[in-house]
Amino acid sequence: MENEDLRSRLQKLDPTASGVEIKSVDEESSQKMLETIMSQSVGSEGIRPAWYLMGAAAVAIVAFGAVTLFGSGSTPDVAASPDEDAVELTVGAEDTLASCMALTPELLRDVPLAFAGTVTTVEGEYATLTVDEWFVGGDATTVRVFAPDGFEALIGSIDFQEGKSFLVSAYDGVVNYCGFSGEETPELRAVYDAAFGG
Amino acid sequence: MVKARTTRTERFEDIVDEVFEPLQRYLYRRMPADSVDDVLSETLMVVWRRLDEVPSDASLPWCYGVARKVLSNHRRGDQRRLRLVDRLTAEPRPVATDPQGIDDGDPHLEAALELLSDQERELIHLWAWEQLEPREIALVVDSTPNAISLRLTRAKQKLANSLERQNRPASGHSPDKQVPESSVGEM
Repeated sequence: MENEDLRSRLQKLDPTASGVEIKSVDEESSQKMLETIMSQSVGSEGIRPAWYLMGAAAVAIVAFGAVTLFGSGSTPDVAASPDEDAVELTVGAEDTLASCMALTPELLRDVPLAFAGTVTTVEGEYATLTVDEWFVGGDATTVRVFAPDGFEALIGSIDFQEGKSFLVSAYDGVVNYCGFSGEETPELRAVYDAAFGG
Repeated sequence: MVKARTTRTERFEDIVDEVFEPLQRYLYRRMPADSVDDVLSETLMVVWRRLDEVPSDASLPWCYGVARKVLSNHRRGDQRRLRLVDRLTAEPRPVATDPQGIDDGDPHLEAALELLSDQERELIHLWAWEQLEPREIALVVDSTPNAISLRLTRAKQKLANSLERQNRPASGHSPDKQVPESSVGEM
């Protein structure tokens, strides 16, 4: 079959061929979206990214558990870390996060542990992050997040993915992932910078 | 500084003019319609943030690459969240509809596409639907033009072979017997 014949047949399977509503860039809703984006420059402060607002499903997750940082006194069931200095985190059933407070630099400033890191591996129940920058509370080069059986999806609420950078904060052994930790965006970075003087 | 900001804004607007509608089509082809705006917005936010990295001669493929990652991120996040909610609520979840499912399409070609791997199918779609060249597809999927050329050629060949097999009369048929239409579709 000739290339163009094949391409032509494939194009008939294009889901948009039957007509979908493609918005023009000039439409009011499009312009509003773009204005919002362009107003959120890297230097802006205190802007809460809309996509970090959690949907109903995620709110249900919050009601059942929180990402827990295991510091001293906890006994995470984790395998020996290849990096002895690594901070170990786990996802547990402790319901320490009752609700989502609005993220502000003032609130974030009080957390005892916060860092920027890049996910190097996600294997089964573990996500490993290389720390790019400590804002407060540590000097380890690696942080490992562990999700016990049944709570893997709580890691998913932050959605650690290899190669992506995240901003993570923890208070009293508990990471508030409800907008306080997440994949690095200019908005989240701006709040972190404002909180920690970056 | 005002001038720099203006230049940045203008460059972004130029890129948006070029990619805004193609990006929507790209997303509509690969995800449920009700999430397209969210992923589009997130994709453009990444473009705004990484404006200096956007190649001037390949803005659209580069933006497709961003959209691909944002989309993948959304899919994984949705799947994980839904798995947990399912587990916690123990209520059945409706089966997601396949956005690529087409009624009355080209069943032979659809069947042939199903035999490809996800990666091969995506190359074929980028070539046919987005009408990209191998060097552009390479930008989208973080590969090299040579590797994409080879993989694309192989995928097209697999499709062609598959279609040829479907069109070939089944062995054992008498040449003077007509193959029923329904049998052809099931081969």
